[in-house]
Amino acid sequence: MEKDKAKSILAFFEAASRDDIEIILLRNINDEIPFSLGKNKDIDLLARKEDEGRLYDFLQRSGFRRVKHPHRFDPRLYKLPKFQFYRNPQGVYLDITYKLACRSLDAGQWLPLDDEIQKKAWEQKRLVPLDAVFCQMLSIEVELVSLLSRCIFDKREFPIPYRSRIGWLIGRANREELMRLLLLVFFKFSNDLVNLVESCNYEDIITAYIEFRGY
Amino acid sequence: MSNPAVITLVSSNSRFAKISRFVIEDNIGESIHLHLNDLRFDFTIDEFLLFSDIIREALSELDFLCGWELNNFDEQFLCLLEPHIGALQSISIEELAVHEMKCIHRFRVIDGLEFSRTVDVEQTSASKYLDHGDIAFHDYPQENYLGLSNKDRLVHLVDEIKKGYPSGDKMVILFNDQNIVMDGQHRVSVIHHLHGPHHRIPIMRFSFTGRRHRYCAFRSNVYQLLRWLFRMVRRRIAG
Repeated sequence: MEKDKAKSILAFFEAASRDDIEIILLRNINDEIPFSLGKNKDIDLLARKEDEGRLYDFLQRSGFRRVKHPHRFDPRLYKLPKFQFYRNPQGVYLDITYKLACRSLDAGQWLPLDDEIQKKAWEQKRLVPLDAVFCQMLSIEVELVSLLSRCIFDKREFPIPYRSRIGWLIGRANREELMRLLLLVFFKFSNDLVNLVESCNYEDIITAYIEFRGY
Repeated sequence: MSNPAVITLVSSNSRFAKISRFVIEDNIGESIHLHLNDLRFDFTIDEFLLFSDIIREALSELDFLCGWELNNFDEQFLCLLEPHIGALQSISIEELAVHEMKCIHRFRVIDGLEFSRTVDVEQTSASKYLDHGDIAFHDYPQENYLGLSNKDRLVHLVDEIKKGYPSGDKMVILFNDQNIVMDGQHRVSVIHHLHGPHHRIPIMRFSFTGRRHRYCAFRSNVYQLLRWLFRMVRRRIAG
């Protein structure tokens, strides 16, 4: 069963590349895609809103059917498009977003990250191998911003696998570019945030952020 | 540019008031925003604290709390009181035994729907926690200051009341002729726990004109039910 699942994931990315469907794999924490994706885990993908129709047709051809999204009732701000959820017979779930987004800190509404980050996500995407096929992933800096936003705003904690990935990325990020993007989300806290991440002080990040007074 | 870390400090909107939108938000890392209708004022934290002191001084001069200072009241309570200020006639001090007071207890009916009713002080979640260690209090729905858990808030209050009540002139508050605690339920629970039900304490009684400031469980629960139904219908339509 797991083998079938992995096969269908690889076939999906291969077909997407062949059919020229532009999608970006948002994260692959612990390299769980394609072989060790948990039972209730989904694959987070970023797609272009203007490709929605083509993507729908492609997913139908690939055996995916649209199912109800678990966050379909959550409020969305700033015209954030609805998230879409697809499932294939092998039990692979695709969570498709048309904008990089995170939850707001107080009421938990979904809102898109800054337009500049959305632009960079597409401009700086990079091709990475996924077993025998290739897929597009975010640049190191955009992925870092996306993971930090996810941990702080969505999860409200830094799970161990996320720490490892963030630690790996921060050592390879272009500091100047990273700061430029972080400033669009974390404003004057960005410098403190990078320092806390670099010193692996993940436990204190959220408290330091909420108590931050340097503005 | 949208900041995901917007903490709403105050939101007091009214369609019928001159200032229909009054919102103060802390945009972490960026600035404090004060929205007054279509205007937005941006402050640094230091500027906002200074501004807040100036407003506090101005409010003291207006004397809308019948001779009492803003410091005598909990800030969250003052926010709740704001729509009723115009009907406030007087604030008097009385002495009441703890057992003569009732508290408003909220309870979950089904997911997303809460009703309330009045209970004796020893029946509140805070009292049950203090007297019997009932940990249901940990999840009791209540407004706390940011980052403060229900337990932390109560522990802090026990320490404060052991030093004396009222602390900083902040008393338990009742409205009109009802002996229902409108502010200070935790304080009453702590006093009940420390000194027993017959202990007499000074309380503040707010007198308003009219009867709409009286607590009525039936009216409140019908309102909650209608709100819940409206939310459900909206969800159905959106889903």
